[in-house]
Amino acid sequence: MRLPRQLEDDPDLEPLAPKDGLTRWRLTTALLAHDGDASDALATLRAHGELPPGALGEQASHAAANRAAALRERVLAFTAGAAPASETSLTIELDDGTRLAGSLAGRYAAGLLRVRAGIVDGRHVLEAWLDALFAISGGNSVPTVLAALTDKDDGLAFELPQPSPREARETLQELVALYRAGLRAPLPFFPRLSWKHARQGAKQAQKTSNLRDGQAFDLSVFIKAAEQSDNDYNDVDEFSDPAAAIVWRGRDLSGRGDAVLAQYLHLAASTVFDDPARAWVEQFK
Amino acid sequence: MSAPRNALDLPLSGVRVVEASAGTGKTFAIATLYLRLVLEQALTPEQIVVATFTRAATAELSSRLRERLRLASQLLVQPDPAMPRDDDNGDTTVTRAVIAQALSLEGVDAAVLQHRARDAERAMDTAMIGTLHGFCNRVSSEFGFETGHALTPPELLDDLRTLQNEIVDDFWRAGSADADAARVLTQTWGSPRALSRQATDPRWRGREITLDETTPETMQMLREQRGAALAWLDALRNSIAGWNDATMREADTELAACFPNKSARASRVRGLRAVRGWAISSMASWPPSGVVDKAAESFSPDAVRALSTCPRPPQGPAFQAMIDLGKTFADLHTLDAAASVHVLRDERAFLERELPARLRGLGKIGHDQAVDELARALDDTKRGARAIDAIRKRWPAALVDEFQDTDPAQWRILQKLFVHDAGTLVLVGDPKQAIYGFRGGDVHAYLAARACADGEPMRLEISQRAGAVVDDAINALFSRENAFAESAIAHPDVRAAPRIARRALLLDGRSAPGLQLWRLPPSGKTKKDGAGLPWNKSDAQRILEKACVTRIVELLAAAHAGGAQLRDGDGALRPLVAGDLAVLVNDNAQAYSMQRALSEAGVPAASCLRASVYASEEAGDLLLLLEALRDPTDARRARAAQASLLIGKDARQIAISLCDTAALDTLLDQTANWADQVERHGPLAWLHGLIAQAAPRLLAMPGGERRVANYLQLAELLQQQADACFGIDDLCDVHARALADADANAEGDAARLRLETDAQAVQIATVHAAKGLEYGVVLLPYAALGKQIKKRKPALTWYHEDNRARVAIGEGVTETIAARADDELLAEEVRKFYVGVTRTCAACVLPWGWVNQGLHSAAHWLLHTAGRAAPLAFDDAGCAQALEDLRLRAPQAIAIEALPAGPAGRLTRLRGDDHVLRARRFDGRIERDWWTWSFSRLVRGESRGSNSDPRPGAGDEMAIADADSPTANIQNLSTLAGSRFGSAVHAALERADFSLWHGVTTAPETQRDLLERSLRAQGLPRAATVSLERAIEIAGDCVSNALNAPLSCGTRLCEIAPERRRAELEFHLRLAPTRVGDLFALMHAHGYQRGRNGVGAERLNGLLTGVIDLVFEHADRYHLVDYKTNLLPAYDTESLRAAIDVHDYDLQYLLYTLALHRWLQRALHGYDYETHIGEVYYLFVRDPRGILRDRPARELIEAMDALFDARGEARA
Repeated sequence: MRLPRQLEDDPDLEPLAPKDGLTRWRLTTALLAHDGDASDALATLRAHGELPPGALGEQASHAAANRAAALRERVLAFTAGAAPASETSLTIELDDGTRLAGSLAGRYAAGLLRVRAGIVDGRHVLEAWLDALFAISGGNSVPTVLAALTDKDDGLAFELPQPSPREARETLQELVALYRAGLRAPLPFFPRLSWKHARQGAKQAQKTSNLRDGQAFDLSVFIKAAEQSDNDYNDVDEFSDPAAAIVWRGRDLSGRGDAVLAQYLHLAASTVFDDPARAWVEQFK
Repeated sequence: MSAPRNALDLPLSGVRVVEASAGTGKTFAIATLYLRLVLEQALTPEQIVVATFTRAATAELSSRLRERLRLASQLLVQPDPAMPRDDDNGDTTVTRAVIAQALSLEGVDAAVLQHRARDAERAMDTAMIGTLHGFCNRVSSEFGFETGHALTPPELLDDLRTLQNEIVDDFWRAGSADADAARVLTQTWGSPRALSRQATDPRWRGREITLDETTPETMQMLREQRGAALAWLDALRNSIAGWNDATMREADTELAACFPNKSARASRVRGLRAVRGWAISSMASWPPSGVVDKAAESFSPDAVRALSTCPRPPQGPAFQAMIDLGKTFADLHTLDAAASVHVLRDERAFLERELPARLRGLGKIGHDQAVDELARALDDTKRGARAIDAIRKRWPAALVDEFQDTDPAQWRILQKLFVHDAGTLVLVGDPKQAIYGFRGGDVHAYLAARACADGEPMRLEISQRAGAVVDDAINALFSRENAFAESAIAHPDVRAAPRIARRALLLDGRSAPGLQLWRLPPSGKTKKDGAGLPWNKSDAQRILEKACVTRIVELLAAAHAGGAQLRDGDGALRPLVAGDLAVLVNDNAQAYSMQRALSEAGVPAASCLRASVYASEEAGDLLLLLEALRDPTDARRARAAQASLLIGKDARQIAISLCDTAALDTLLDQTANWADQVERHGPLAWLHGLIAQAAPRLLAMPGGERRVANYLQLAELLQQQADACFGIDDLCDVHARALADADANAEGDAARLRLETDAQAVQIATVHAAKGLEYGVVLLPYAALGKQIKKRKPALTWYHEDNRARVAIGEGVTETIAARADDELLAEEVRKFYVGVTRTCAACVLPWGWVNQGLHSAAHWLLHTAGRAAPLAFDDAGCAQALEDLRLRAPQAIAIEALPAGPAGRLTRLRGDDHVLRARRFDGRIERDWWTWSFSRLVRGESRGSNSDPRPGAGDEMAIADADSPTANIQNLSTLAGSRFGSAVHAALERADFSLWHGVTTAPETQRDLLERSLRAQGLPRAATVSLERAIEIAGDCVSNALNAPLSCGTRLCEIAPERRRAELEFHLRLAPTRVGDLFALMHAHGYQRGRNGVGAERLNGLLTGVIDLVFEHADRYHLVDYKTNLLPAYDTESLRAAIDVHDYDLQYLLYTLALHRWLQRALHGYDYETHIGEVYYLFVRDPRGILRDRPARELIEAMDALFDARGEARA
């Protein structure tokens, strides 16, 4: 199916403030690539009409330069200024016979580095987590770090968990199974909300360490999101995403009063994110 | 002097105030006062201004006034009309009393009064009943000569947001030239939209700003201070960059000694590292990242002192540097905040300057600008005084309703216009119901007006709405000291009128309390020490909604079983139905939430909200369908359309088309078929079919009625848009654009969500939407939730000081001002709460309990604070005490119960479901001979037909051209005769720059383009007739002849400046039933229209419309011009006269002169026919000699005026 594209805000105007995530990300990425001196990169962006005019543009690039500097610091702490090793290709076979083939980039002496020039959400964590599992399953037992920015534009380096190769293969196998299930029927998995949910669970588990499996779980992340998309008629959260709206039409995605859906929501989120969420909570209180 | 007791007592002179508590029959009183003005003072509706706040209220008020006049007119034909009769109802009783009072005046009898009432009822269509804004705009245009809009009144623009945003964008752009401004803009607001939200707040209007002027010196000082702080910061940063590992180790040791608490120490260790990292990084010094900023702050002496576990502050150069750093950061924050305040004020000043200027450029005006411009015009010492004089003569009396929602500017205008020796101004309102502060309404303006009134205000205290049990409860709630958090507003006890006193909700035959209080249970959450905690807001909201639904289901189920009834004032009982119940909410979010909860319980609910239908899911759904129609061969889009809710196919059905080619063909055929339907019959026809098919499925879903209503509304909107669109592609884009702008659309009437059902449904409405309405049972579930106002930067605070509206920004917001502003906000909350409670006729439900932020609610003020020596504690016990105190004030009317908990049942079926809707029977009378007349219709003698196009150069010329074109010597030009050519020349004359044609014989080079466009717009010249060059030449000759014709008044049109002339002056005159014979007799007597005796109809009745080609002013006289492109055999006076006779042009210019006469009479101060009416010029523009002039006699025009006004009989 092809869904209609959302119209952007008046594209006829020159940018007056690079507020949207994409422009910010492009600015920061461009500056990050130009270690230190970024005047060329900025000139290009300005010529592309991505920067506001005059002093407003200076301000925008100044803010982007700060973000890039904060991020670069994290990157340098990991790479020590070295260039990444060349990409290697890797093929692994899981116990159920699934063969996964791919290549690993961003390899440094200290391990794998993933960089996100913006705030981290579930999608980025999932990407990095899959890379980490894949690398470890293929015999590269090295740490994987995701460098990114906080919502206050500080740098952040999240070290993903480092399971044993056997554990990594088992986890990968579970994720592949989930992926296959999703190809056959709608999977109640929403990367951003599920990541939030998993982190909230990990936080609570940290406080009450004796929370056993099967104990009632807190769905407040999903409930809040559902309430928001109810109230805010034109919110752009994952529940109101047009594709999700079509697939799940008529179902209350918060899992309120729908025990089966609630179970699935929780299960999908914890299968994918429990391990990284625990690591996250340990590293950032 | 004692206060007048009712509308019969109120003296009808000077400034009078009527203060009407909710539901005390305010409109009834206004109708009585209106009737008194008509009967006692012999005023006509055209002389009385009736103004109110909203357009909806206008319609309601107008019909009530008309009914009252009709009633009076009917009563006055009865013998002894003032004598009360046994079967009189409330309206009749009061009307008879008004009649009696009027009859007691000298020189008045029932026949005179009957005439007054009947004439007034007939004249209601032209009565000035509207909003205050509308009145101001009407004054501006009617008194255009005095108010500066003489010849081109601007068009009223409802929504200024687009223009305002444009202006803010431009201000933002200007920031690109100045590094300081750019920094402040980006740091404080981030985007122009955020700045726009603050700068365009309607509350800015007319406020004085509590801030010193921005002088270049202060700006310079700020810059210098900032420069110094930055230099100091760089120095500090350099020294911190010099910290080596030993420094850090020492610092760690010191930290360990001073911060035994682990987390306090750890955060400072991290902070020190972050600051060092910042110092050696390439990041800019200012502003620092959040972590660095916070780290510096955590070492400030205050922060360290606040830590009880810290034995002593850390010592050493590193920590001194951190303290200095914190101070410098704080200084810079303060300086930036000060700069942002100045920027915001500059922006506001820019907006105030630019908005009127840009509106003028567009020929438009906003509501507020109309008020401002009028105020300015009236302030003008010379012209303003003349205007005031004229307006006072035109409207000697004004009744202003909902006056509590006025603002100071409107009050100043009313004062100027109506406060004088011979004027009457009645201000009707209720300060307790002033709830539009957020939109610029200012209850203080009301209070100021009240203070200026003559005599005591008349207070209406007898409720015509709520039964006695509800009134007792309302008195218990509001009749207490300082209940409205504003000393000038008090609640007088209300009592129910005898006819409605028995109104109540009966449960199992027993009268339910007027106010049912629900006590929230304790939240069950406790602190570590066991002390209780309040409910958090979202949990409280959930249990309140659930309780509300439970109670509604119980009530409706009981009603079905005969156990819940409403008793009316006369004791009559009827079962409670869903439509009697209303849930009042504060905002749209609460309304959606409530509606969802109700529909889950199977309760039909209808909401009356100000939200755009484009923000609904259905709007997005229709986009899926439209996208598919764009390219009916695109299978993927077609499948997406099938998945839309309106079509409602599930995945299995859609998937079939992926593997079955026959299914795919069917799918694509259907899509193509749809596209075809839209192309042929429009989207409405197509969608109606689809909606009808889907309706059974949709209506079975929760909220299905809402969905169907939305689809229907969207279908209509699409149809409207389709008329202006080029095909489906364009329509699709327009629809998508509307979706993207859904927020901005919420104000437009067409896109606002409609009520989804006419069937019996629980009403959900915001308090603002419910104002003026009433319901049997009112539930206020959200009254227990307070809301803390979010503070934005820079702080903007709206408040009053010495009765003047002010705004404080940034540092101007002192603690006193902030407290005062909070009080004013609270006062408005209390008023809103009052409006909510007083919607009740029979019973009201109000929950209360200990909920987070409940402190900011109106209920907290009333229950815990107002009228108490010391406020009651806000906790579980305090809340219970507050409820009990309230109950004791009116134990017979108020009851307390625990929050209904029980399982929320589902409502199965409601009585009245099968109720079939029928169209109402029309038994009015339509005047059959009411027509819109134009000159051309008159001369064609049609009394019916559709073509009454009054466009000059069209209608009349067509007849002319047919008659004249085959003249022998001009055959080669035949294509340049006729109505098209006439229209082209008229168009060129309308737009021509007159001065360029001064003394020229051929078209000036710069005007050739205009001529060409005018001709082409009419499809001229037609192929293979004359060349374009030749056509332009001929048209140019016509224009030149017209503009250079020497006029007998001593000028030529090319010498008349644009501001002294007006092209295409359109007029609409009311035609009272006029006998055609009388009209012609009159004209014959003055030597006009001799060849004609009638127009094919016996009577003229309705409206006369027309457009005058040009009116210009020369030497204080107003002259009329009509251009004629007729081809005549010759252009000597005799031939021109012949043409005039043949085409009845004399009738035309008599009508035009009459129109001009009426207009000037109304618009020009001191108008006199002999002094001000000039000549009529008919310019036959084909020839320079084609000038015919006339000046109809004053007697003729005045007699025609009287005839058309139905005053003819009196004169004849």
